[in-house]
Amino acid sequence: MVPIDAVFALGIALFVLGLFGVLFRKNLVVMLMSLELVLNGLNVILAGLGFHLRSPRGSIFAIFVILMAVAEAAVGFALILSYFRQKKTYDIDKLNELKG
Amino acid sequence: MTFAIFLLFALMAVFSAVMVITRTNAMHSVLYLAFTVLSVAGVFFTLQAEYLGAVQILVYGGGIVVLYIFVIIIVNLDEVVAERRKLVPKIFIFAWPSLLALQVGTVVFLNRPAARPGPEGGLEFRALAEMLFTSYALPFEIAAVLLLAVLIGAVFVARRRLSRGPD
Amino acid sequence: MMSPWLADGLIPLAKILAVILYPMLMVIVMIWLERRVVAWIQGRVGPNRVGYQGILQPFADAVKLFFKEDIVQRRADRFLFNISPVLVMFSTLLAFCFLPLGESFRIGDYTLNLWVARSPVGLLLVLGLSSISVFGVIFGGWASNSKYPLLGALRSVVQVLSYEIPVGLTVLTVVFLARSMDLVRIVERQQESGVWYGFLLPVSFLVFWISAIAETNRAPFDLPEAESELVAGYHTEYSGMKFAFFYMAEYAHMVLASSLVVILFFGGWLPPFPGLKAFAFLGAIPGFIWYLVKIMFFLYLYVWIRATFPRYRFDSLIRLVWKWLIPLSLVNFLVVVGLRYLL
Repeated sequence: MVPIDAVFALGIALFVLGLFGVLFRKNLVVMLMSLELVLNGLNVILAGLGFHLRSPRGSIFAIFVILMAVAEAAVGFALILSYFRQKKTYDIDKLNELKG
Repeated sequence: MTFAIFLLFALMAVFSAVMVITRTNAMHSVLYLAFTVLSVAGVFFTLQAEYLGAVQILVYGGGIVVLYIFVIIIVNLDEVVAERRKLVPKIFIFAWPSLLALQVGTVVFLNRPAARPGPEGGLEFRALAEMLFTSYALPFEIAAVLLLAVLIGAVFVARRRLSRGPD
Repeated sequence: MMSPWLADGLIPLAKILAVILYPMLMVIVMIWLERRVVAWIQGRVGPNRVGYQGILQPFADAVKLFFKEDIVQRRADRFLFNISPVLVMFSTLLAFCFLPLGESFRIGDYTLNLWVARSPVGLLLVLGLSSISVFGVIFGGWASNSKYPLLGALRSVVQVLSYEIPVGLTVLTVVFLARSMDLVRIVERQQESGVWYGFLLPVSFLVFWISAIAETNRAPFDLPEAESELVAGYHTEYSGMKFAFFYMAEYAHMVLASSLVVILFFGGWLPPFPGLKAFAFLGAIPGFIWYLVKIMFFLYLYVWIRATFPRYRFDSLIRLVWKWLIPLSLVNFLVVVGLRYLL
């Protein structure tokens, strides 16, 4: 059987790696991909808890998280496409029109 | 034995995740994202969340990653964005997630649920379906409406403006 | 009695080897079958020199492809270019792990299962893995750094993704009747109800079959790789063994789709009329023989359809799925559910 410690470690590792990706990278699309890593880490922890507590709620919660990820990715892409058509770049350093 | 397979998939997932965030070529990052998604699906299988694993492969792998690939092709991400930062922000950016991980890890490992021998027989698929459609029927329906809204919204935001309309 | 080394080590290894060899054997048969049958339908003979009636032609092709020069364009993305054939083959072969080939045998006190893995969501997994196969296609098209492959890859991916929807909806009617997504259980349920689901759900079967042909990029839906349209689509720039991988993966995908049709709609390893006593003598022939016969029939159908119908234009293809097949499968699902509760 899989010990819960290992599952937590994997989940936190994926979460933190995704966080690094969002903070370090300047390429907009890669930032969104790192967000997906964060959500995957979350799902791993949820599935592990569902397994450990012998409840299907973990899987159900994780399914909803996947649905949210789909929705967020779709909207994110629509915005990226519009942004790219306007500014012809996806470097977040240049996307700073709201900066005071 | 299951733990060994879990470790295999876990190492693959972490390795692919590191590759996702470090590659300069966006297409390579997407490939490693696909590997991460498949490895995490494998992790779900070792945790006996088989339906979740199947949904992960279908939705994440067959849907979201393909979406990413399409976006990169349409936007034509050949240009490599120079990743330049000054030193002090770099230190903060590196320190904060690490400290967060340490803190969360400590709290979790000190308060983790007691290690029980683990379930026998695995998760009943029927129990999952029953719970999904009885206790969680409302979130389920709301999720369906949300996806519909996202579909319409994404198509609207990303459409080409062929004529000068009101916006 | 059976030592754990054998039961847990050797037999699964042998099964994994079988999972790799079985599609490859079918591919070899398919190559010969396709070229001869298409030739006969077109009024010519086809390759018949390389062995008795051209049986050794696939081996000749394999040797030729093996010795061809492996060309990689200078500006192609080497890593993705090299890994794409592997990705396509990997996803297709992985899906074969979940397909049951027949009933379980009893050898002494050990039950030999004719499948590598059995999962309560086996059907969903097979569908998911066959949708993973678009990765290899699109990475191959992009990495070739050339217009025709990219266009072919994009068209192929759009086609596969669109036709997955009617596949999912028609499969849903089968799952509804069988009360399970486990492929083994679906065949067992067909045995219990005494009739193949293809006779109970003819519309589902037709829509699924048409979508399966489109999913595998076969004629008449093969615009993404048609010779006269796009040079050769996403595998234009590939030569030698890598092209052979794409070629074999396409045939393996056809075998996968045929297997799925047989398991879901035609009783898997059951003989015809599994419920009637009058036909019980057909049960003397082992299950996997019936299974192979049925798969060969559907593979022959693939080739027959290819030689008969003209190719769909791409926008007609997409219009067909979104305007006709998806509404049809939705209505079909409602009708099946309604009939089930009325009867």
